[in-house]
Amino acid sequence: MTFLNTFILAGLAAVSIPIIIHLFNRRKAKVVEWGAMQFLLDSLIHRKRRVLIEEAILMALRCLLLAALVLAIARPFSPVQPGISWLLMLPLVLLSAVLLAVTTILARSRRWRWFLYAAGALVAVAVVMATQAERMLQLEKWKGGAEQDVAIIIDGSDSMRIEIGDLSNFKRAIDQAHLLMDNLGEEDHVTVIVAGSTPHVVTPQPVSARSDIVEKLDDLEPVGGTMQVVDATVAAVNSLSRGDHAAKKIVILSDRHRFGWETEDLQRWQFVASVLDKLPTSPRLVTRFLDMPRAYRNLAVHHVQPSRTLIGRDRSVTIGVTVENTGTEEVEPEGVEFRIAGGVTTTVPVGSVQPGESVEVKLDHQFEKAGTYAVTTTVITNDDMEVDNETHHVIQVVPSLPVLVVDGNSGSNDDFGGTMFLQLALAPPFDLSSAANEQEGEPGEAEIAAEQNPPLVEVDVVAAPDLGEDARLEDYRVVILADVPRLGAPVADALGRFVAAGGGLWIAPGGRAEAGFYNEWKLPDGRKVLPAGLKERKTVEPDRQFGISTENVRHAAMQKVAAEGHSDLASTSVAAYWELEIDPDDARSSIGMLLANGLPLLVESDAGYGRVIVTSLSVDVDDSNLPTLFSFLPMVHELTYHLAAPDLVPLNYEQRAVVRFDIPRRSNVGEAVEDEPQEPGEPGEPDGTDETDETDETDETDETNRLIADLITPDGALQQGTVEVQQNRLVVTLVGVDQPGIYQLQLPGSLDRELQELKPVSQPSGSSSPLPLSVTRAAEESRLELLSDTDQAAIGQNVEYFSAADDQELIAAVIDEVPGHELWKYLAVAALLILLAECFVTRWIARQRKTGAEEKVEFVSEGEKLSSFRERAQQMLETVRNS
Amino acid sequence: MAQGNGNGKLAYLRLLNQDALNRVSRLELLARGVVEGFVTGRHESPYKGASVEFAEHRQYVPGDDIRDLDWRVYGKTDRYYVKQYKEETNLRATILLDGSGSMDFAGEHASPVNGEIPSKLEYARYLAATLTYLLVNQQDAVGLVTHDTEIRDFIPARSNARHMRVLLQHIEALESTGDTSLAAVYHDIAERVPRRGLVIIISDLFDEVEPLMEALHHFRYRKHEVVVLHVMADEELTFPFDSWSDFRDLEESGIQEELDPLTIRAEYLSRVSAFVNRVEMGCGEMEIDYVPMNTKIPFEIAISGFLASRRGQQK
Repeated sequence: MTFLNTFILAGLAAVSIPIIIHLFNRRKAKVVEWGAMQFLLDSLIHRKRRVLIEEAILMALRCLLLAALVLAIARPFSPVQPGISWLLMLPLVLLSAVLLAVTTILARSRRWRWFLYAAGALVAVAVVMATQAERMLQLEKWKGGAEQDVAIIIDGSDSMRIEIGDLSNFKRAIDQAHLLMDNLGEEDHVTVIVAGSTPHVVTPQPVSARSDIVEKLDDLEPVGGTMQVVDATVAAVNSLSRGDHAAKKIVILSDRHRFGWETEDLQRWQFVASVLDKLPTSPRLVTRFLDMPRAYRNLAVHHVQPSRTLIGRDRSVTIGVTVENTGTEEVEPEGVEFRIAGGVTTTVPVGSVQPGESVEVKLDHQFEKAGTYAVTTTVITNDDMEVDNETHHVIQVVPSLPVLVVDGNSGSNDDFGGTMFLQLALAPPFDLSSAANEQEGEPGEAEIAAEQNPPLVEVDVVAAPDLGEDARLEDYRVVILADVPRLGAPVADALGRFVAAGGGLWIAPGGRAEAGFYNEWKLPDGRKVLPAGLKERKTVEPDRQFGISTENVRHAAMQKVAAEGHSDLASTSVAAYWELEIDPDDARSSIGMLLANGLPLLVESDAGYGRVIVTSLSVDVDDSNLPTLFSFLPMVHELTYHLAAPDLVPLNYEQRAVVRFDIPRRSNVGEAVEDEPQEPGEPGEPDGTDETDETDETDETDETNRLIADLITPDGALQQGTVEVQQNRLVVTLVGVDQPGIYQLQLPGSLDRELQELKPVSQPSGSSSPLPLSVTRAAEESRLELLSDTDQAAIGQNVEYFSAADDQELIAAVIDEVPGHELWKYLAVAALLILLAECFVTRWIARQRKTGAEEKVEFVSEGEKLSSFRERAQQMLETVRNS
Repeated sequence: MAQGNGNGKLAYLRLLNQDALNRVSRLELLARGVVEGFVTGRHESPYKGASVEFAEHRQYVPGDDIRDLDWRVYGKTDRYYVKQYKEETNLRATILLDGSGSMDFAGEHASPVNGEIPSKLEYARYLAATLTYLLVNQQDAVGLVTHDTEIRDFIPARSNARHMRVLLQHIEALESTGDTSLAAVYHDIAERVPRRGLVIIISDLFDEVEPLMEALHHFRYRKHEVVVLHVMADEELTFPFDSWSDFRDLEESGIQEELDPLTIRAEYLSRVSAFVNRVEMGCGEMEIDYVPMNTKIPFEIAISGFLASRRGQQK
């Protein structure tokens, strides 16, 4: 605790006024030579103790009153991080006043009295000195006084749009910014940042707080998404570093929404600390949190997810979306509307959703054309946060999935070789689903259906020996080697490049396969093609045959197959298999499924941009009865889709600062690839460090390979991105993709043909074809989870952090006054109460002592009035004189 | 003996305040009437009907007894005169004058005599002197006992002019000392004063009230007619102090109390009131003539009033 008017504390001496008056009165006591001591002593014996106590109480109240008044005028102040609590200090001063008062009345011996006076005065002086010391410490702690640059980060996230009492928190934050600027000094400079998924810097460098920035503030709008605090802070530091003043501050005005603070990520905040340290003086981070609504009505829609990754025109796909009630009240929406680009709009009804409940809403849809579709999902309801009632998703429908099956069995007389099973499974000659109808009549329906919905998978079969160098592998998405003994070196290399460029390869070795070839087969980067080496071919005695394990299926595609209700994978019977040997050092290989004897059945690894799967069983009935099982068909399909998936362009993103993705180039596959393919990883990671890496990288690449692409934001503005043209990839980098909705990416004309498959269906043919990208908001932004004290403590461990509880504390913390609250009001109220108590006690004592209403001593003879005595006496005297 | 103020034996004359004496002289007839009442009315005087010598005529004033009208004079002059008699009585009065320390209190409210504020003792002296003069002028035998805790002077009653001078000298010479222990002294005096006399007690009566009452009763037991002139200062009756005061006992205890008088005023007054009431009531029960004498009232007026009331009683 400190005092703002320290000098007023000298007024504490006023406490001695009633004491001095009392002592003075006693000292100048008139000597009365008294006769009626008898009555006086009797009265004293009876009253003395009580009188003393009453006097002591009165004196204490008077001294307290003065002490409280002086303390109130001295403006006691409780800093938010007090060294010594005011709950100790103020009572100490008041108690010492009481001590002085009581001593004055009750202390009998003069020595004791002076001793206690000294003690009381000493306590008061000690308190004053302690508060002065604390004042020094607090001022030192909060430093300042110099001119400074202040970065004001206004939370522009979606949750700031919620209106509380007709005013959104965003507007409130702007009011706070105004307030702050009004309180800054003439020479102080300000920079303003509206923080969402990406920080929007309003002023690139700090400008005078008195300039027209103030007017600009009122025009600001929330940028939406989640406030990425670390990014915003880094942006603030960048701006502050351009300011002139050494002293810096960063202020965050937010609604305390926890998401985006990343407090669980220590490294992020250590990074922030290191960035802050780069400034001349490490600035304090001051937050001011606005109130969140207590009652909150909100439905959010997110996570649009088609049931399959690879979607063709052949059959319908289920589009699922999650409707979550993130509010505090039950909401019953009118339904969920699916709007698919190209004109189809369907509304799916939804029942009422309880707070905290999530409901999945599904729509079956069959796409008729290949290309990209923007799907907009809207939950139709009227709630507090409107922006999360809609979400977008882009679905790519591929025209076909060309698969090349290399038949290692060709030349044998076995008509029922594995290849045939594969071919049948991948491209059935008729639609199995409509086969039942066909028997009812209506012949030719299957053919019509096939006409309208051509099968997705197009299978070409080639005998292994016929696969020469001239094979156009780039025309295929997936290659299946069905018990191929070995391949010629050029073909093997071409297949390696095919995989590295994004193709899928399924190796199903059988009795003919030559382990030596396969184990030595290398990718262009020198790594082995096979995820697991072929160790030994084993045959199983007919009476000891075993199946495959349907437990612990780890492979995503096989999980779908095994999970199907009518799956008969369990009835597999294995006659011969390859024992697969996994290199323990190769972390990329993963076992997807096991044989019943515990040995691997399916092993997968990433290879360049593509994927390779090896199975220990071939697709031949000699090895197992698998090809004859009902589950064989979905299994082959799912594995094929899975292998083709890496070739899909990722078109759906959450709001983020940077998006980077590859588009495979069909035309160049098969040409020699000299540079090592980039590690695919997660494209466009949103962390700030990535940005610097990227610039380094682009510096190294040839300038001529970089082109500018136009990006049209959901609200129609034009941004620019870059396209890096690599041999078999286009690497697209987009910065500031933070508006939820559909972006349109327009590649330069020369690259337009690369995007034929991705052309949006709604786009009129012939025009240039922009690539749609969807950007969604984070589902967490809809959930009002608050930043906890623990979170704030975690921040405080890394940076100098202070959370202001009210306007005064905010201003104090920024203009380097000690933040805290004044206590004079309490003391003023206390003084008033003491005054009332004093009046009451005085009256009460007066009543007890019957002041003014004392008994009157009747001292006249026989009830006759004194006056009448006098009258009569004088009358008689007159008579006598007259006579 | 005479410790007076430098005028030697004549100092006692100061006590005979001329104004007071003049008034008292003019009141002589009235006083005689009173004394007569004392003796012939209330006390069954064995000397009732003894020779009564005519003294003078005086014009009738309302209030005079019609029986005293001299009808012959009326017949001659057509005016009303009353006959006044010089009566020889054998009244034996003893004045008890309290000279204890507490009598030394001189409140500022007291009515000044000769420009000086009298203490209770002085007031009592004036009362005693006046009464002595009055009684001696009435040819009554007057005695005097001065005392504090014990008897200091005991002068038996006599009735001649020279005796008055002796009495006045003793009255003048009385100085206040010592504590008050009235009850014991009164018991003593009651035994020593001859029976069937008039005992006039002039005191503030500051003592324990019950023993005091017993002592007064002792006088009554001895067949004395008792008059108590209770002298108190106005300050003692109203306790008008309002600032810190250091009360010092006038008596020998040496007690000293520094206090804020307001804190105990009510308590004090209620005690004084209880005391006065008790004394008055006790006197009433014992048929003792109790006369409060507040020093605030000029003593001559007070004594005239007292005598007037006595006369009033006679009717």
